[in-house]
Amino acid sequence: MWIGIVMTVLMVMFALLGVGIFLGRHHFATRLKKEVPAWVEQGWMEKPGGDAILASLNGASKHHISTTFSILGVLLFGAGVITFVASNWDEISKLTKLAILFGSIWATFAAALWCRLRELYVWLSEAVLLLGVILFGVNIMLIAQIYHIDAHYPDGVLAWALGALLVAWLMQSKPVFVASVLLVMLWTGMEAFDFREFHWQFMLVWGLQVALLIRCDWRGMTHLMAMSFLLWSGFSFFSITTMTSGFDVIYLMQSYFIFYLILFLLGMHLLLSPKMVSYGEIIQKYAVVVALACFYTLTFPHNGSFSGAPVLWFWVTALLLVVLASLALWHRKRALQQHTRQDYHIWGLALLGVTLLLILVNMTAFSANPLFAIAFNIVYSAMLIWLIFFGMRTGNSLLVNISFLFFAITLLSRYFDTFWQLLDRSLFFMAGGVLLVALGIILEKKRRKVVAGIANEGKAAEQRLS
Amino acid sequence: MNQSKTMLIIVVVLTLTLVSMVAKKQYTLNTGALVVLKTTPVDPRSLFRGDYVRLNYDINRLSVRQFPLLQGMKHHDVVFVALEKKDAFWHPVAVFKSISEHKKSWVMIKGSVYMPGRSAVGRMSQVSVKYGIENYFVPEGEGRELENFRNQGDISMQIAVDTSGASGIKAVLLNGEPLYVETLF
Repeated sequence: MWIGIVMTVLMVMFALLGVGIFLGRHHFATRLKKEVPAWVEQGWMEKPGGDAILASLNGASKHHISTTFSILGVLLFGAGVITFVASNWDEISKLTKLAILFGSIWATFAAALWCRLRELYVWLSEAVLLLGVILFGVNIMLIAQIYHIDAHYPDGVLAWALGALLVAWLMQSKPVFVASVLLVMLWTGMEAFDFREFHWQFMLVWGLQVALLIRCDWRGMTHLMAMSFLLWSGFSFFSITTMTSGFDVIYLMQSYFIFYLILFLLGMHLLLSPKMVSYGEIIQKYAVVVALACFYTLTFPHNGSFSGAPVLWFWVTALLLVVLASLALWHRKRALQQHTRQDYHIWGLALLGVTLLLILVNMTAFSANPLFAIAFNIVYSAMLIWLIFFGMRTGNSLLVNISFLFFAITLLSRYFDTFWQLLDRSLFFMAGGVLLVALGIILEKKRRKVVAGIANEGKAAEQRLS
Repeated sequence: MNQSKTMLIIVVVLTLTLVSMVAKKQYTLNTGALVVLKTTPVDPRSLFRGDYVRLNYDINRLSVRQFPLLQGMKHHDVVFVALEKKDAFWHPVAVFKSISEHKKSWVMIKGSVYMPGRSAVGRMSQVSVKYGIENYFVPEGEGRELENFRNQGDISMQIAVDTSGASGIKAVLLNGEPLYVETLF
């Protein structure tokens, strides 16, 4: 019975995901329907082109509705079948159980093939394929129950995820790909929380998923893959801190900062390849949030200065710094070769050099020194300013917004650090309130000005093109 | 490759994955040496909970003093425990890191050190080891019946252990007589 309940919950999750995807697409289509006539009126687009886009949108919209509702229908049907089998489980013989389990998979994939081969039902095949993958997972659990297989249970989820990945790879099915990514997240979560080990094996499966994403050019899925990586990264943080003593958390935080800086640089590299620009932009957005969050924790006076790192963390940091420096120099070389080197590249490289030097000196220092904390704050602020500048120059308003947000958080933190002990409590809160309001107004004004500047530049560029 | 062939590959791979789960277990049950292990309740107030029985054996907790090799073990380390028959049951007599040469009267069972949240055995006097035979699924509602049987007499488990050390529950015994016997179909 419990398997039925678990599977029903899983199906509801998948169904909600389907509805989410549908609503996202619907929002995009509605916006386009409003915008296209305006673009035609402005003369940015020829009328036949606009009509063709609108006609295609109407067709695509019907298609998406069909797919989404067929996925929901198939999921509900699957939930009903599983609940029925689970509630009558005890009355069924072992051989009949196996026949039901294997027969259900074969029948489902046969149905998916039938839908694929008939052009009219291609949209339905996605839903049936997803049902096949769900049934595969159910079969793993039920066979383990029938034969009392009490193995390392995350392996069951891994087998399920790999099965889903195989189906997604061979049939190029997006819903099944999403299911495989979610299952891999579940697998790594089980390994990290139930077995508390650094789960490096996740990267092997994640790498295969990235390969499929690039092969099929599913750019929209990059967000899902980035979130999956962030989740694993968080789980790994938890596992490593459990495995090592709490003293090492600050070194781990610093390593995470450098690692995500490396990912940001990887994004910079992708921006240099015209085909990979959209991947690069997405990677940069996620990388910058984590890198800034990690660096933010190092700006606290009691965190920023740590005297004499343990040997392990010294070598981990050194290795990461070497990778970071190599990537930065390689980027410089590529930008020079392509004649795309900008002034923000020069400033960015200089800032990276200072950051590298500061981390190295801090790691090798023999005694804790408050000067390091001040230096960390200066470099952190410089980094935020550079990001705002970079966001303005590349038209990336999200980077600008993120930087302003971290800037505000850091200013408030420093206010708390500095005046919590010095001022009377009532005065502290009153001054804090005034500061918060003033800071909010000033930063919001600046942010709006910068983002509006980016939008105006975009419009001007479009006008020049037209 | 056409779609029919692709779908055939998918069905074959997924089916083989499921069949291999059954085959691996059945190989152990059919070819393994049979040992009988005494079970002890995990929680004497409710041994049989839900749809499966949680079983705890004497070999699940090994004394570090008796088996000093365990001192250097970490979570998830693989160990091979030598079992020898004394009276009606089999008991642990030695612990190894691999299946090395051993006495003919011994049966070597493969286990995994289980101590989540701890990096090393350290000063622990006993180490928990799991073998994959700690859960036994029973038909819904029969857990209570098994609990009554346990109160009437001794419940023990007949375990099959194959040459690689893998193990599986072959039968549930009540006073030495089979109550449930595992078959392929």
